[in-house]
Amino acid sequence: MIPGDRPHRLPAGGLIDRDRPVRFTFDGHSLDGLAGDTLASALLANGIHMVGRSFKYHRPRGILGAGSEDPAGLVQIGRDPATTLPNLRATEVELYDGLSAEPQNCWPSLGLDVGVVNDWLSAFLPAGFYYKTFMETAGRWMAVEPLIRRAAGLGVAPTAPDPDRYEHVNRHCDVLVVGGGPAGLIAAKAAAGGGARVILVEETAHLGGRLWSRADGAVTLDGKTGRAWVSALAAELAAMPEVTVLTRACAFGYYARNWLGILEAVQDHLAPGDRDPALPRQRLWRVRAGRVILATGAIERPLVFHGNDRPGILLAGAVRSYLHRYAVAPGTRAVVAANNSDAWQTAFDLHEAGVEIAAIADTRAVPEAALIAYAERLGLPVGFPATIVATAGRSRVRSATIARLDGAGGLAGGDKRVRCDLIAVSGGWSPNVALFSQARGKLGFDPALQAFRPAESWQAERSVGAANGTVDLAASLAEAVTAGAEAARATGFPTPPPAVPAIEHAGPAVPYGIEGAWSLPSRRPPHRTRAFVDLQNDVTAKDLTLAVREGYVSVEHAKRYTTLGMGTDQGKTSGVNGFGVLAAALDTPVERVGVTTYRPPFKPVTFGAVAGQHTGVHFHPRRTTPMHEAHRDAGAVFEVVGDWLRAQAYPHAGEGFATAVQRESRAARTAIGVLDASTLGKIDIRGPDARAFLNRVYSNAWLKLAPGRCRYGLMLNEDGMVFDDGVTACLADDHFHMTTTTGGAASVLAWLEEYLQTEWPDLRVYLTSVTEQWAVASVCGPGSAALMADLLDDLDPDPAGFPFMTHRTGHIDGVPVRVFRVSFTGELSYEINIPARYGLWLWRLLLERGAGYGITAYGTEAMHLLRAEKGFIIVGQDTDGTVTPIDLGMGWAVKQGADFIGKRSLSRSDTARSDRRQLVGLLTRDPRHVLAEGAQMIEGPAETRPRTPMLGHVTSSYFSPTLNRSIALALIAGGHHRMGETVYAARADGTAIPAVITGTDFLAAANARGGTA
Amino acid sequence: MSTDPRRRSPLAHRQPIGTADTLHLSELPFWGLLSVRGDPVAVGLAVREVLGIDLPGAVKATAGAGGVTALWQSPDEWLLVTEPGREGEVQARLTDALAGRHHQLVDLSDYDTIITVAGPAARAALAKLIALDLHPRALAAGQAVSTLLAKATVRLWLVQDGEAGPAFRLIVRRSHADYVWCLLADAGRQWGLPPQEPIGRVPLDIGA
Repeated sequence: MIPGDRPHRLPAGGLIDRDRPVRFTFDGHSLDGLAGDTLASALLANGIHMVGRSFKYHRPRGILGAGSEDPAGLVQIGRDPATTLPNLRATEVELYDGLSAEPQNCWPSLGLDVGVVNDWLSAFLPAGFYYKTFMETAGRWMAVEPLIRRAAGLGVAPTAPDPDRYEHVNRHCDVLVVGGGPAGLIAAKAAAGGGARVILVEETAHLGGRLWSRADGAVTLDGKTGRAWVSALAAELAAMPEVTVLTRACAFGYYARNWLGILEAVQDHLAPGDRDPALPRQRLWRVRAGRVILATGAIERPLVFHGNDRPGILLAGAVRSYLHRYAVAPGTRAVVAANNSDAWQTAFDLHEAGVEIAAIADTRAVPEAALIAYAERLGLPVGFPATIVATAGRSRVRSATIARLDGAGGLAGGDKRVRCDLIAVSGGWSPNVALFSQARGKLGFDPALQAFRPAESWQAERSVGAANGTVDLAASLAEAVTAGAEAARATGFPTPPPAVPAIEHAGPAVPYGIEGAWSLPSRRPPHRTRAFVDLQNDVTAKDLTLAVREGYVSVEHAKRYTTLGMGTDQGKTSGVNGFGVLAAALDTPVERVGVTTYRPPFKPVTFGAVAGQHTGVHFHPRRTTPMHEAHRDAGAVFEVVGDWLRAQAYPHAGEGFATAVQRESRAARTAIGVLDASTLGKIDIRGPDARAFLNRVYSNAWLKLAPGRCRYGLMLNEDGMVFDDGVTACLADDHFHMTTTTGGAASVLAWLEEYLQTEWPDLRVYLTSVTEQWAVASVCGPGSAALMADLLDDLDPDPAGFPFMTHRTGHIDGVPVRVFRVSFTGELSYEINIPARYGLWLWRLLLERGAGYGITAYGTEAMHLLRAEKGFIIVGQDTDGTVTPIDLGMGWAVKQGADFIGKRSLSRSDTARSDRRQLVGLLTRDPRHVLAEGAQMIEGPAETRPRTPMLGHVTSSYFSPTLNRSIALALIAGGHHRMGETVYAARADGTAIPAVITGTDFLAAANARGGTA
Repeated sequence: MSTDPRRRSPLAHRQPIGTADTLHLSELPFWGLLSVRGDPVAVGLAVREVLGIDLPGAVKATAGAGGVTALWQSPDEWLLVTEPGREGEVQARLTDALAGRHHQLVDLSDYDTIITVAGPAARAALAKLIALDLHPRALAAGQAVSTLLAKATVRLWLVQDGEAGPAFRLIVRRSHADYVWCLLADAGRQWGLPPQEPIGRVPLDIGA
């Protein structure tokens, strides 16, 4: 691997800036290029063709194309573990100063690669090799897979977090034009004239498409050179306020209802130091379009002959791109091999650029006389019908052997080996139908084109120009103008179509004249012929014929069996050739073989762009309560509950989490505790049928709840399983305030609305979420009444007159509050609801005024502990969607008579079993031992073989400071009938922990015994 | 109106950012928000009588008078937006006017807050986070929609549009306000808005 020995830069032309030299490195060599170069054009200007090695055989791979179609010229950009970019096409990487590129898939180096043994062993690595070898015995594959994955593969993924910014942009337009070549440009103009919103996206940095791949004077449009015409049109579009032109933007996905994904490489072309930190690296545009015009051009196919994969073998059209777009001659002595007239222009242009033409080999029996005459006039040697049958040269092609075709699919005599360092090949152009097909359009095979082209649209789109199989420039422009005008009319912005420019060609204008040549004959026996179809995945014509012989006759099966077109290039240059080779092997017309499914993305899209700005701190909302600042200032530890950040505990300095929870719990029982309960779901329920509605959605009875009273309710789903619980207060006969669990708030409201709208539209009830209207502080403990009396302006908190499960309105310092006498903990409690704007003030006031009463803020962990001491359930912790109210021992909350959601399910035989897992208390024999939550409960002290029956599991487990011992809740099979029995909690080390089954209200049981347990 | 130090708006910890000639974000705290649900005719009569507003009857429509605007939410639901402090009086008068009719009138003034997004770049900034069509042909001054902004539900109300660029009001849930604010600031980076760190970024490690 050596830098080029002579410059290949042409003296004039190109979209490069000769005054701005750019220094870059490739494979450790420092090289020069020019601003405007791609990495590929700069490498070719330095005489470097080989950029990497292939996926399977590690064969040298060079640059085949000049754009996104290139299959195997893949490089790794940069070495930084956070920003390195794998698998970039050298043909698309725009050069910047300091760019560092490395070849891929080579170890230890590009020139010396140990993986090349795969190439020597290629006879033993046929299609389906891995499948055949390793799928028979799964174990062997498991062992070998990591080795294979390391040996194969492409670039190296970054290992550190991506520091770059990305963003999504949503946009709607009337007409989206994909492709900024001549057809796309004039289609956009035709569509935009009447004021329609038009977006034009171009994959490369420049509008103009393949006009840049011709000598500038080779064609004129209305008397203007190609470049002048493009500039004028671009300026016109830029001046239209409703037109957006995006360059470096690739439409990669065409989804339902004209929704397209577009990746805009905003800053990839800039040196990292020149990038604007205020702009993203890439943008993902999500565009909804009224009409889409696909002007995506065509992709040239290589010819499939033995030895067609060496570096130095380029597509004929790509050679013209390097000559004219980048002013680079990719060789000094060239062979042009083709099955059509278009490639002859490459020979003429190379000759014009001073590159010697060693031969033009045309597979056609009789190429156009005008071409032959022109070639003869230039003195170019021509052979036909002829093909290349072999090439030589390891990291760069050195020679080609040309043989005459016998016209019957075989070879005639007279092989001639010619020296060359460039072979320009063309197997014809395939319309780029990827987006059309993603849009569910149907393709048809066009024999005149020897290619598949759009036949029937499914969505509101039109293909124009080369993407539609229209080869002639004038016809393409006419088609584009028509499509643009039609799209404008269809979207309500009609406008007279612009005139189609008059086209004049400088050289010989000859028909395209392609004749199909899918797989060319070889001098070698079939098993030694290496005619590549897919240059990235190393799929040869032989592999495809083998697949057919082994029964993979469907094109989709053959694709998967051989991995044809399954690389990062998605078969852009290999697909249609592969279908042709399959057709030959099946002896059937290629249209009968059909095509494989085109799927997004058209080319790789970074994960960064897919994630957009929704990463890191912006990944997901973390909801905070009105009191959040106070919790944070108090050093709270938070947990996430249904997107909410809830204070889990408030450890003092130097105090551990567990100690804090014990302290907080003790305070709530012995003095005053205060909990931020703002996150509880709250629903305002209003209407004359509100009461009847509640009676249907809760399992317990609601018809007699008087205004001013509260009631706890259980909500079941249709299966009879508990899915939410909470206290609902009756504000007036037709007005209720429901609370739900924090995590269930949104789903409960949606569930209730669904029932009202779909099942019971006759009920006159309105629901509105009021969750965030109220900040809620729950004050509990023996001292709470005194503190409340101190705080409330106009409400007597004395439990005698303000009993449990009632509510009142009042004021604190003049601010209206609703106070509910409900309890999470079993202690004397007051739940203060205050408009959320006063929440932080109230919290601070409570802590300040409560200080004298020994008030302690407690978090959710202490709350869970306190309610577990009373046996109060936590939906989602003590229940898991398989638990009925009966299982919970809450049969008192299941009404008789009136119907409610889930009622019938409770009488199903399975739901009514008496040996279901039931919620019980567990007291470990060792009061210091706290069972692991989730521990499986078993019958005996040791596990039995082969399988120990599981009785159930521990759902909640704590050390209770009040009882001075451990407590646990568990779901145990038939547990309600096993009070006093001992069961065992299994542990990983085999030593099971004995525990006695008890009731769930540990506190009441202890009080009944007259003290601690 | 005197300021009450006991009150805290959801974005009280944020200062306005940006400039009016490109993009500007600020909170409009403590505006009155009332949700009204009911039969369009019954509610319509009451609203006209109390507020002098013809209740909007179609998607995106709003109608306002005397410092109160009604935003259409659904065929039987409207959001009344009032200047700060007027919600109580409006609620009381509407309650009287709707007495005896099946309806729901709920004060949500503390539920949401309002973020103004104004300036010539406002549409482009919002389009990074909202999938709806924000072009003036699709959303004109005086129109409002309920939609998603990233993962938050918002009501987007274009209050005016003109030479100085559009002025949007985003009515956002209290607990989502900071998330939305920070995403908007991020969307405005290219117009000079400073990055904003969400307050919800707290350590979740319970420690030893």
